[in-house]
Amino acid sequence: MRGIEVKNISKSFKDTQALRNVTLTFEAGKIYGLLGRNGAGKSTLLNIISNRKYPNEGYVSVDGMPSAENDEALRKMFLINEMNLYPESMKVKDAFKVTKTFYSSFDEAYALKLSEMFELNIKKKIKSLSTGYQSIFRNILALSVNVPYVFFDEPVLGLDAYHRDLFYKLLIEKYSEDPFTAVISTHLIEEVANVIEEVIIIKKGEILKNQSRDSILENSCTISGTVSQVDSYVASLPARAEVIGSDVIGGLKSVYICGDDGARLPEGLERSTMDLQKLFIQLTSM
Amino acid sequence: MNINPGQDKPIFIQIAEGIEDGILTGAFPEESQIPSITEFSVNYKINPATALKGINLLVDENIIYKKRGVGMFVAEGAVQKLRKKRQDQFYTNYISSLIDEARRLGISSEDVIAMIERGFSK
Amino acid sequence: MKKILKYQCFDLVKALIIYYLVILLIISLAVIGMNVAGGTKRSGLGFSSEFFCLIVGLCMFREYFYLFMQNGVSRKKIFAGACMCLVIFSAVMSAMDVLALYILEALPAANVSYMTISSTLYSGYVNNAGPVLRLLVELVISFLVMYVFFVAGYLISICFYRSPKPGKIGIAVGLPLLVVGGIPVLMVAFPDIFARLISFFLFIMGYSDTSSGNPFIGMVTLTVFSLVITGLSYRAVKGTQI
Repeated sequence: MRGIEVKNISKSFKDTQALRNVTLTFEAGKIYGLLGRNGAGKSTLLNIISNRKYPNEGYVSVDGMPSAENDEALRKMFLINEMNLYPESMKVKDAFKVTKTFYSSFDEAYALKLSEMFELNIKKKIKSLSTGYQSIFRNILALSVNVPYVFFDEPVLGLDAYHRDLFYKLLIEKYSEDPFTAVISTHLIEEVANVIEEVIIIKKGEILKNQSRDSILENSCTISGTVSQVDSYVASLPARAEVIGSDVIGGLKSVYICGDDGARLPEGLERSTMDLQKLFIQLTSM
Repeated sequence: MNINPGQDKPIFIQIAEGIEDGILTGAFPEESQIPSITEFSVNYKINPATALKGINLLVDENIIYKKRGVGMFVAEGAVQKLRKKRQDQFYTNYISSLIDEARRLGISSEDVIAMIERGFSK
Repeated sequence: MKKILKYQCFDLVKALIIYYLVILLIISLAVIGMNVAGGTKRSGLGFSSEFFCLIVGLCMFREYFYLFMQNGVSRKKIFAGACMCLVIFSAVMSAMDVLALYILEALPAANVSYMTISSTLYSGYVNNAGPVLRLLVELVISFLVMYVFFVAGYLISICFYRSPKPGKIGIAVGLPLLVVGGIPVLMVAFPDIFARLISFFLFIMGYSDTSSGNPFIGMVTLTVFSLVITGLSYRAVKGTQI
């Protein structure tokens, strides 16, 4: 079976439960958005999948093989996050060379081309790069490595608007040419909303939503109208519909609903779509 | 062509409508090649599956056809077909919302008709 | 496995070359100095190799562990690669040290001797043994001693990496204190215990001040040490998380 399977993963640190019984799959050749607020457990999850941390319970399998301490499975994955694991005194171009020795699919020429596009000086030592360029350096590695599963943990941290734009374009270009599984963990949702195909929303170590972006958005909406009208509409909703939040301003009320059936609305009420950012904020507030 | 993520419409519909607009205005003449899925998705930073979904809407309506290994082309008669489709949608897309707003504001149907005539005669 | 071994060896060999260049320089200076001033000098240079091993062992864990983890290598492989690398370096260095010992011996005019662990600890045995046996003893003993120092440094650095802040400080302060401060204190305050510890240590190393000493006991002891520390290091690496 192709894809990554995460089964009943729990992980706790001294006094915090970082992940609670997380089960999900990453299918081959899709772009995922792993969305969660700071400290929701995104990084921990990615660290466990790529064998950098051990779970307290549960397991991860990659293309049907358990991933923990399995070199064959590990070679199919590449994770970048805010930590630089390359020796600090190493030069960028040497880091490309080293990566090439471990991942034979790493495309050095492409990495050099991207460095030029991002104006990354490959003769510089990694430690002397600014925060933004450290992110760029890691993004270039991840875009050039050509493995089936690439995890981008906060890839645009510290990047300016132009470089963020360039990064997303390159990611889509790369993906279009040769689809791979890209998991982008971020709390900047607006920018990735259209890039991703699948959405995973994580809150306090638990998975809240795990479905395609289109289906999650199709079934979510905002209903607005006068307070009494909105309240009686909410009371009439079927059980599968879930009110995830509301705003009241004066006599007007808006409710945010997941699983709305799109039935015709009584006179005076208005239905509008919700974007991913709004949905995320409502789901992860509190 | 303008793709706006903040708009109420799903992105794939916006892609389809953008191409339709291009065909209607003559930017994509009949039998000409339109940009590839990759070009659309890279340019608008959207997932290729979304771009494909939008274009497939047009393929299903025989407005666009695919030539294997070559690309996608505007079908012959696409302009005619699109005009007909847009005309059919004209009432739901424009007239009904016009009437809704007129009712809220208390504008009579005679006044609305008069305004429309005034607009046409300009 | 081959890749990580190659990478580490190439990376560390620079340090090794510099080290031996320095040693060469010191020996040359000592030879010149002795010939000018007259007299004979027994140098402890052979022992500095053990310090080199300890320090390289101390330095090599974190950097390689991070780099290899980033590049999809399992902890098992990382550990196996490190061990192989240490074995190779111990072998090369023991050969170099024994070579230095023999060269300086062969040049009586040099007036400087290069002492190794075995030539010191088992001098009686070594001086009476045949040339082949002597070479073998010299090589095996210094190989094992160097490996023990290497892997001990490696283990200490893993423990250091894995400890929380107070533990790190504890290791950083405690270890040097134990060596520099603890031993003299023990020596003065509890001379009996200290004397017993020393004689126990010498006993398991096969040293004897009355007879010629038995290097083979030392070999067994050192092998046991190596295996135990290697095993502990393996467990420590396996449990390390980033």
